[in-house]
Amino acid sequence: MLFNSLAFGIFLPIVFLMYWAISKNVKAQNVLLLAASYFFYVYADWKLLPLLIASTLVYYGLGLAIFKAVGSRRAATLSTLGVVFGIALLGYFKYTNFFISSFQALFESLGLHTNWHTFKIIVPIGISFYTFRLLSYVIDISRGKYAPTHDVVAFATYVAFFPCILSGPIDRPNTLIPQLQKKRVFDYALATDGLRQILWGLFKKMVIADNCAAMTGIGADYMNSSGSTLLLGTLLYTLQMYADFSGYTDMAIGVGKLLGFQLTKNFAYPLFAQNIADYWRKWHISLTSWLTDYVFMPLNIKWRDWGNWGMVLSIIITFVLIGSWHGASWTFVIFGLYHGLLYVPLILSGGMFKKTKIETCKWGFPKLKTLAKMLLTFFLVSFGLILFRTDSLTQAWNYIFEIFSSSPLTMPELKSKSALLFSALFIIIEWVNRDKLHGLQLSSKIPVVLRWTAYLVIVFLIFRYGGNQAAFIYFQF
Amino acid sequence: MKRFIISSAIFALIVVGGNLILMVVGVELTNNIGSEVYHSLNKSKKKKLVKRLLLGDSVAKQLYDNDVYNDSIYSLTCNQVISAAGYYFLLNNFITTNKEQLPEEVILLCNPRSLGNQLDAKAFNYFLKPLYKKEYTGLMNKPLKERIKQIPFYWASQIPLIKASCFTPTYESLPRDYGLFSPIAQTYLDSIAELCKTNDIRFRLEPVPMKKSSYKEMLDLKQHIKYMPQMDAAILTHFFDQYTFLEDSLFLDHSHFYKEHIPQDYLKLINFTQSEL
Repeated sequence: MLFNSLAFGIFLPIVFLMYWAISKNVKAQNVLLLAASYFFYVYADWKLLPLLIASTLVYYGLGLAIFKAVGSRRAATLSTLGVVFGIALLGYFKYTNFFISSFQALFESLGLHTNWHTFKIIVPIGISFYTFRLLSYVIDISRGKYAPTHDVVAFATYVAFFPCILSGPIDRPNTLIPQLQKKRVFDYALATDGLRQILWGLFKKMVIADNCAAMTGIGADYMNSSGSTLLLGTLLYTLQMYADFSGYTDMAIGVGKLLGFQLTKNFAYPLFAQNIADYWRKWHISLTSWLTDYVFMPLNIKWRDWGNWGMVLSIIITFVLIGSWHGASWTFVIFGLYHGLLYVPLILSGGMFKKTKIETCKWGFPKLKTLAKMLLTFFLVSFGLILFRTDSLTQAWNYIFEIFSSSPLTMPELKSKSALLFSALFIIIEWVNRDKLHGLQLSSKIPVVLRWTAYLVIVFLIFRYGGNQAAFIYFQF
Repeated sequence: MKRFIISSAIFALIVVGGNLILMVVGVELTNNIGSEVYHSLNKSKKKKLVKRLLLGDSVAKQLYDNDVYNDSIYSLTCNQVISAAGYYFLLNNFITTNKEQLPEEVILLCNPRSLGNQLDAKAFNYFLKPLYKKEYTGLMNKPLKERIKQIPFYWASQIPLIKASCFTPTYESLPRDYGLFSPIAQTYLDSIAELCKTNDIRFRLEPVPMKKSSYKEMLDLKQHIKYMPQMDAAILTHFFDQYTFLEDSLFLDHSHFYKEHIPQDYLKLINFTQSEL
C-alpha cells in the first residue's frame, strides 16, 4: 500500500478515527495499531506475515532471556545468537543469490566449472528495516541500556508499526516503545503539523521526485545522449532520491504525529551539507546512527591504537556495510567503498567530527566559500549515486565515461522543463526553511488565510503536476 | 479532536467545492499525460484547407508529427490508446468543422497491433479524460459504452482535479482472442470508412514499418481478419500488401524508432504533393 495511493487514503482516516475513539484504553489502541500494521503489511503479500510475526516473537523472548542473564556469559551468548540470527535472516533473503553468482563468477574466472544455480527467493518487504529494529533491541538490552518490555503487543507494534515498516525511520526501542506504553492524548498542534508534513511529503514525492524521474531514467539509448544530458540526469537523480526518500519519511513522521507519536528525524537538509561527514549526519540519519553505534564505534574503539588509520578502516567497513545494506550487488558495495574513501581526507585532516556552520551573507544567500563546499559535496554525492542507478559496474563505468567523452558543454536534452522548475523551487523552499523540521512548517504568525492558500496551492500542484504512481525508491531496499 | 475534524472537513470541502465550481463553469484542466491527444483534438476542430488528413498511433506520430505537419498534410496522429474510436472522433470533428473544404484523402497510419486495442492499459488517461465527454457520447456505440463501464472509476474521469492529475486505475486487460482487429476497431474502422465514403473522401489504411522479428506474428494475425461491411475489401488488402519490415536495430523498443533512425516522409506524401503542384 503506497502512501500516495487511494487505498492508503481510505485506510488512514479509518485507523485514525478508530484509534482516537478508543484513546482511553492504551492496550486497545495498541491492539488496533498492531492489527492495522499487520493489515498494511499483508496488503502487499500475506505470505510474508508469518516471518514478521515469528521474528517478533523470537526477539521478544530473546530480550527477556538476555535481561534475566545480564552480566553473565549467557547474556552475551544470547545476544550474539540474536545478532547472528538476524543477520542470517537478512543474509538469506537478500544476499544468497548474490553470493552464489559471485562465487560462481569467481570460480569460472579460475577455470573451475560449477553446477550451482540461484534460487527464487522473494525478499520480504521491509526486512532490512525491521531486522535492524530487532537487532538494536537485543544489543541494547545486553548492554544494559534498558529493560525489555513485557508487553508483547507494544513490542510487536514497535517492530511492525505501519508508517515505518517499509522504509523507516529505524526507530530505536527506547524512543518508540515507551511512547507505545504510555497514554496518548490528542494534541491538535501535533496532529495539524502531522497533516502538513504529510502534504509536504506528498509534494516532494509526487511533484519533485516523480517529475525528476522523467530526466533521470537510464534507458537503452543512454549512450546516444550528450554528456550534458547525462550530467544533468546525474544531478537531478540526487534531488529525485532525496525528494523521494525524505518525502516518504515526512509522510511516515506525519502519520506518526496524527497518532500522537514523535518518530525519529531521518533527514536534516543534506542538500546543504558541506562535506561528506556532514552529508551523512544529515542523510538517512536513523541508518547511519544505527551503524555508527553498532559497527563504527566498536571497531574504532577496537582499533584505537592504530590512530587515524584505525578510524579509516572502521569507516570503510561501516560504509561498505551501508552500501551492501541497500542491495545485493557489487555496485552497492563499491558505492559504500566510494563514500568510505571520501572520508579519508577528513579523517587525516581531523575534520571528520567538526560541526559545520552555514555562513550566509546579509541577503540570506550562502557565502561563496560555503556555497563552493556545498556544490562540491553535492557533485561528489551525485557521482556516487550513478552506482545506485546502474545495473552493473560496467554500465556505471560506461555512463561516467559518456559524461566526459561526449560534449558535456552542449545544451542538455530537456525531457521535462517542469522538473527543472520544480527542482529550483524545491531547493529555495528547503533553503529558506532549513531551520525548521520540514518545509511546510509555516509560522502561526502568518494569517490562517494565507497558510490555507499555501496548502491549497500545494494540493493543486500535487494533482496537476504529480507524476505517475511510481513506488518509493527505498521500498526496494 | 473536534476542532481538528472540523478544520480537516472544511479544508476537504473547499477542495471538493473548488472542483464543483470548475465543473459548473466548464474549466477544463488537463495533464501533460495525453498532451498529444489534446493537441490533436484542438487541431481537429480548426478550420483548415488540407489535402491529406493523417490519423495514427505513436509510431505514425514519429513519422508525421502532429506538431510539424500542419498544412496540406495535416497530422492528427497521437497514439494507439485512443483506439479506432478516438480516430473516428478526430475525423468527425475535422469533417464537421470543414464541411465546405473537405480533404481529398484520409490516411490512417498505424502498427497493426494498435488496431487490437480494446481500451486496455492507459485508456483512463488517454481516452476517458480527453474523450469521455458529452460532445462524444453521441458517437459512442453500445460495445464502446459497455467497455468504458468496465474501466474502474470511469465516472471520475471528468472531475477537474482527477482530470488534471495522472491518476489512473489499474485493471485487467481483456483477452485478445479476436486476432488482429478488436471489436472496437472493427466497428469504428467501418465507421471511418463510411464517413469518408459519405463525404466523398478517399480513405487509406497504411501500416507503419515494423521490426523484422515481428514478421511471423504479423502474418499469423492476418488469418483472423473479418472484412467489414462498409470498408472496401481493397483497403484491407492494400494494408496487408504494404507491410514493411526493417532491421530490428533501428527500433528503440517493440515498435518505436530511435530518433536518428526515423524514416523521413515514409509515405512519400510530400513528394506527391509537390509533384501535383
